[in-house]
Amino acid sequence: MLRVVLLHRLVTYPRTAFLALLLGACVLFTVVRAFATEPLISFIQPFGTNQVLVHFDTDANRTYELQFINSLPAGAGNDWSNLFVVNPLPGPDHFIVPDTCTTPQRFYRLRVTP
Amino acid sequence: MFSKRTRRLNERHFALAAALSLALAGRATGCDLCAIYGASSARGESSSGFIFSVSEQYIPFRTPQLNGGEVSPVNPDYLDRSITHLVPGYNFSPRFGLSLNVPLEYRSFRRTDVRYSLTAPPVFFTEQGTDFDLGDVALIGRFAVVQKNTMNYGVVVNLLGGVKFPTGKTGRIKDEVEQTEIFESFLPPGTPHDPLGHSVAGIHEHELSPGSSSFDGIFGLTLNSRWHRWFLNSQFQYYLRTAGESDFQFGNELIVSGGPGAYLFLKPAFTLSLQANATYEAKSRDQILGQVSDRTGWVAWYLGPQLALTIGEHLSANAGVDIPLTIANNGFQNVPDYVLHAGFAWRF
Repeated sequence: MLRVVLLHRLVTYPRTAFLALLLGACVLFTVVRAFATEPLISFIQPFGTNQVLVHFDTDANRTYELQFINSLPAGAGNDWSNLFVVNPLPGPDHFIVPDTCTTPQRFYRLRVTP
Repeated sequence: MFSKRTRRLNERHFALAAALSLALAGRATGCDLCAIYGASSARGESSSGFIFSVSEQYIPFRTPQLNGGEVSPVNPDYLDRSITHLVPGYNFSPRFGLSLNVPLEYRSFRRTDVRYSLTAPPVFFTEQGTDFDLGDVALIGRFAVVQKNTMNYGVVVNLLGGVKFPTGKTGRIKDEVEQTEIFESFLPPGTPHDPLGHSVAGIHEHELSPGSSSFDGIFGLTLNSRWHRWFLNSQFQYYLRTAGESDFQFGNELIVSGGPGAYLFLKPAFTLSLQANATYEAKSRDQILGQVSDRTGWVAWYLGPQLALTIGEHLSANAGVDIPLTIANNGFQNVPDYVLHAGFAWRF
């Protein structure tokens, strides 16, 4: 009965229908955003004598770029470089990227699109 | 967890089926019932002597699934596998026979995966190619515990048992286990992980391996029953796996199949029957380095028609297709679009 009343109102009042659709779209967008986790480097650990391991999780259908730079700030020829790229995969996964320590310091970041 | 696709009847499953096809050497005589009797009798291996059969199975694994749901990767993997089984056999008596299953496997594939290294960042790579190899040979014995055949009805129950020998190449499995070892060396001790956590492919390396380097047990039971033109056939198969190459252990497998059928044509020179064949298949998860992988194993249902033909007293043939109904696969795997199988047998 409630469904019939709602349907009747949506048909009778187009403005109400539009607002209801807008509200629904906003809720859907919020839910989708909530399920797509932010890119995060889980941890970086020493490995062997001169290496580190960079751990990170990935979501489905997104591209991840693990980048590094030897000094901050970036710019003026000092740019972030790709160390490893994960193309879109059908499911979530976990990656571990070994990197050799050739400089006294190195910074890492994880870019994700979309 | 279920989808519209299902998983393969692989080379190992087919070993018994190929052996069973030895029973299809038929004969046809004067009347309808005589023809039925002759064909049914042939299925029950009611004679002694040499039999040789050739069976073919073709499966395209082109449907990627994640935990039972179909997904659409950007650059999907595929595997088209064709296995030809050459099966010479000998029936020492109507009740007891032995057969040797020699599988020849052809694979056409493409897969994209990650390759880990101890010294450098991992690399995404795509490999594409074809392989042709000898698979694992199996020796299978048959003992008929019930053999009752009359003009009007018949019941035959066979027990089957055998061993699969490590005759196929296993370089792919060795490489996959090495990748597991590298990946595990990166993890802090005690970190929960899947032993195939290094792989992002829908076609894993062990699925491209023609052999397993293991001695596996094969057990089966067949029931063939007939009443006039109608019949009901069923098969029970169980594959007991042991550890093989680099301690990789394929999961045990249970297959139950069968269904009702009828003789469509009954001529003095030939018989033709049609059966509705349903198949249930449960494959346990594989073990790598003693750890169970949640990216392997499945439960699947198939349904399809199967034709069986007998010509004269020596030649029989069969052909069928298994259409996937559902599958509950674990993790990300490619599953079959369908399964085609056909074969013929000649009784000397």
